[in-house]
Amino acid sequence: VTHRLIIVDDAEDLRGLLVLAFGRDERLEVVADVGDGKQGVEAVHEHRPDLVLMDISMPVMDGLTATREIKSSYPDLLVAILTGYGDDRVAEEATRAGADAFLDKTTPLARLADVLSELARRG
Amino acid sequence: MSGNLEDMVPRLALVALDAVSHADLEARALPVLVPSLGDELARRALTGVFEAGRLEDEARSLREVAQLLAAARERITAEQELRSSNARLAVSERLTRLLLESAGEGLYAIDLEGRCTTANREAVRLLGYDDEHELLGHNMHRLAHHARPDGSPYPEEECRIFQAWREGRGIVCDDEVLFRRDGTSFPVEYRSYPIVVDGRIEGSVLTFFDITERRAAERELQQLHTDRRTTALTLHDNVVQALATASYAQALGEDEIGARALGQAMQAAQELVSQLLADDPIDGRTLVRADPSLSDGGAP
Repeated sequence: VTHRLIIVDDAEDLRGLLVLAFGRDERLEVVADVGDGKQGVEAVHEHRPDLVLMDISMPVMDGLTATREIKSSYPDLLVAILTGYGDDRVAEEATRAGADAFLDKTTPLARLADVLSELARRG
Repeated sequence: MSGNLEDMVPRLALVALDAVSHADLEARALPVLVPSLGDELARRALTGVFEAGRLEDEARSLREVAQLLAAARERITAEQELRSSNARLAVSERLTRLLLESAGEGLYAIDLEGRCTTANREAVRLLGYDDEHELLGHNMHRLAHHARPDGSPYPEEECRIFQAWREGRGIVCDDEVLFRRDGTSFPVEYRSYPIVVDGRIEGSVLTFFDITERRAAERELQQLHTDRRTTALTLHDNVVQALATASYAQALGEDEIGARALGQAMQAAQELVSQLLADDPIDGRTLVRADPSLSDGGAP
């Protein structure tokens, strides 16, 4: 089973690498990758993915606000936060915003794909 | 022995002096006593002697004079003590007032009904009045303590000052406001203690000062802290993001992206340090690398 995924992150290099990595993983299909929360919300409306991988600190609209908006329209759609803020208080804030998973950017790439696939499989 | 007035007066004066001496009266009381001999008391005695014309009556009258003088002496001593006690009281009151006024804080006292019994100039000034008499007799809670900082009513029965002294204890508080005459308020720190006289609570005394400036400084410090935290988190995010990018690039064999990301990580790390230290001076001592072998952390 392939899980359809949207990547929302303003760091272009990082985003490109994630697209490249997940493209090599048969469990995941990246249907869109965008650079801010607002575009992320729009892409969700357009593509109706299974899963969103969301950064927090972004221009235009931050990832927590975007998560709240997505969850208010699609409560069952999975949102995983991927951030450099490896802080419990930020994780709590993400949980309050409705995020289903909280991932630190220090998570190795291979592990990242596993976690996302597992999250999507359990739905 | 019968006598005329001219004979009697010198003898009476001698007896009077003897009585004065016997009563051990202070010399300065004499000018007060001697004229009083010519007054009603002595006249009564003299008249009695003169009219009776008899020795035993004379003797009785002289005893009366002596008794009257002793009574006068007691009265005068009592008056002197009262004057001296009043003088001490006046000094004590002046001293108390000086103490009240020299305290840099506002101070007022209230009775059991919450009415103001005294207030110093600083209290009058802080509460926006011109004179102590504008506060005296007024219920201070209703006048200056009737609402909470959020503007909601503060009923007298819930007032912490009243609650504290009813229980016979003091209270220190810095999260309430007092109201000025013009209806504006200011954050205040106050201390209130019961006034206990002979084991009974008679009221309470409250000292207070305006902490507007302290509150502003606290807010500024809080803002500075928040700003610093935001800066630190953002820059940390940038560092971790660049390092994650380098790590992912290495895993995917994307060397060019990896090298660029490492450069960004170093730049972000430098920025992190310089922004966090922006307000702190950097000198020779700060730049000496801490020696982990020195457990107490002190410089050699």
